[in-house]
Amino acid sequence: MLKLIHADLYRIFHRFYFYTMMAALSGLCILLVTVMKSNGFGTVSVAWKFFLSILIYPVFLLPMLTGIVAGEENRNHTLKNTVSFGVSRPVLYLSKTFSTILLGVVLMAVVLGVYCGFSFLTMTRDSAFSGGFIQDFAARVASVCLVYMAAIAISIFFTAIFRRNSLSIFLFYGVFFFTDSLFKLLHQTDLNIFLLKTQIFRIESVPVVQLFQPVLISLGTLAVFTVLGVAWFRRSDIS
Amino acid sequence: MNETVIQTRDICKTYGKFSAVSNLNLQVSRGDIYALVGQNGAGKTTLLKLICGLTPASSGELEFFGYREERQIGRARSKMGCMIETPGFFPYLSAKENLECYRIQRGIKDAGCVDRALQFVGLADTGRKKFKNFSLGMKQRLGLALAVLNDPDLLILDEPINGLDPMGIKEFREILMKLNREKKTTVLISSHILGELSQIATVYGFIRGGELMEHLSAQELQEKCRKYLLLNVDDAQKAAAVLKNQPGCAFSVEDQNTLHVRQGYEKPELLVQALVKNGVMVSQVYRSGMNLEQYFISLMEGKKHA
Repeated sequence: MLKLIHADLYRIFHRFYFYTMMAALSGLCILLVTVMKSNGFGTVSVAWKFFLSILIYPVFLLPMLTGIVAGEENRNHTLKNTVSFGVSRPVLYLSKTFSTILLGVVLMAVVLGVYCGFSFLTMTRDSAFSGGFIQDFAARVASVCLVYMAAIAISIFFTAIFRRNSLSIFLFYGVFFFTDSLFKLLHQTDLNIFLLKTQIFRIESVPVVQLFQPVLISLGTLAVFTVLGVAWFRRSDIS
Repeated sequence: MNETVIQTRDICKTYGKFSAVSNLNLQVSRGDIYALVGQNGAGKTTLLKLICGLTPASSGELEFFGYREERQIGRARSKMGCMIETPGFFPYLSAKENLECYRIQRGIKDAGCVDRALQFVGLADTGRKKFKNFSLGMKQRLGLALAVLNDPDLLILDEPINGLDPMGIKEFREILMKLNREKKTTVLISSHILGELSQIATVYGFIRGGELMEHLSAQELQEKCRKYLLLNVDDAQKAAAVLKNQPGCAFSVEDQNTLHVRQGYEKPELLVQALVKNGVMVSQVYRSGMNLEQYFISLMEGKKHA
């Protein structure tokens, strides 16, 4: 498993696209902080709180990560090189999930580091910006990271089923963003609580002690989609 | 004793109602260069994919290096190098980076194997050129480099010489023969270029409609393809009845007017005399023979050989 993840990271870190994406996101963070500062929202606590209100947007980037890790293997027909070497398919599937998660963690760390660091260095540290505030912020970011991991599991699942990258991205967005609309149509809005989208919005607003719910739902979703993905991948044809 | 490297027992692969491979029994022994010959859609690639674990079998059994259990087969596959269909690599990496990626993935400690594999297939001087800018021949060579990266005991190659120029084909042939001779590497190869196969293969498997039609050694094939006497007569059945009584005469009836005499035709005039004496009109008599291509075509057309 570690060898597979190492190989994935080797090729991705040899790819210009990944660094471009990282630089673009970092640039966006700097721009955001600069715009906030120039519009009078010049304190660190406001900037960090604002970050919590836009936690839904990184979800749009997740299919790009799964595309780099797993989608590309489908497109370039490289999975056969791995499977024919005798690598167990469940291990291969799990390694793709972990590689994407690791990549997401690296990206998140850089983006978060740039956003928080830049705002910390350039903005006023007001009285609200305390140790407790940082702890609260860290707990919410950690929780949302778990939601992103679960979203990665969904995205990898669709990539494994629908080899075409565009179709899997389309379905991922559909499932992630529009399942609540479907529940509404079916008068089953009680089920919204199990959706990752709902949990992301809850992370911003609920007290820290209630963050266990998004954590549990994320872990559940991660487990379900990983098991389904492994089951599918075990029997699928590799081209 | 010949050690069996690959053995399939009644292996089947179906896609819906279509049977790509049906009840196929294949045996490849250590040291063989086994040529899998068949038309497009005969099931060659599907069979190779089954062996390589790229597609699960619908039924039947695969024995690989003596192992039958899925997990053990998986482990044994690490002794295999393969190239199925077109070589798949990451387009934004160079030849060396692509192989390095697989070296890491396969846990090969010897970092020098990448350079050696590139040297072996003549791609050592490609430098930073990315895979996406490679010619078809270079891509095929890189596919072969990956196949030999882990110094395999078994090579499975599906149409490996597609896209290679004549020099490349010659080099490729020499590489395979060298591997087979020096490292005793077993090779299972499919190709449409029968002339090329006939220069390297030690065993042939003819496949049609997902079934193995015939399995024979190069020697047996040579025997079957050797010279024969072609007789064109007005009634092949009547001629056959006459030839049956000729001592040492072995023949096959090809159609209602043609017979191939494979043995006992050292004096063809005596055979013609006997035929004419028994009322068979002989219109043509000449010596002929077959190469692999002709044999393959005759087999695909369903002719029987006596």
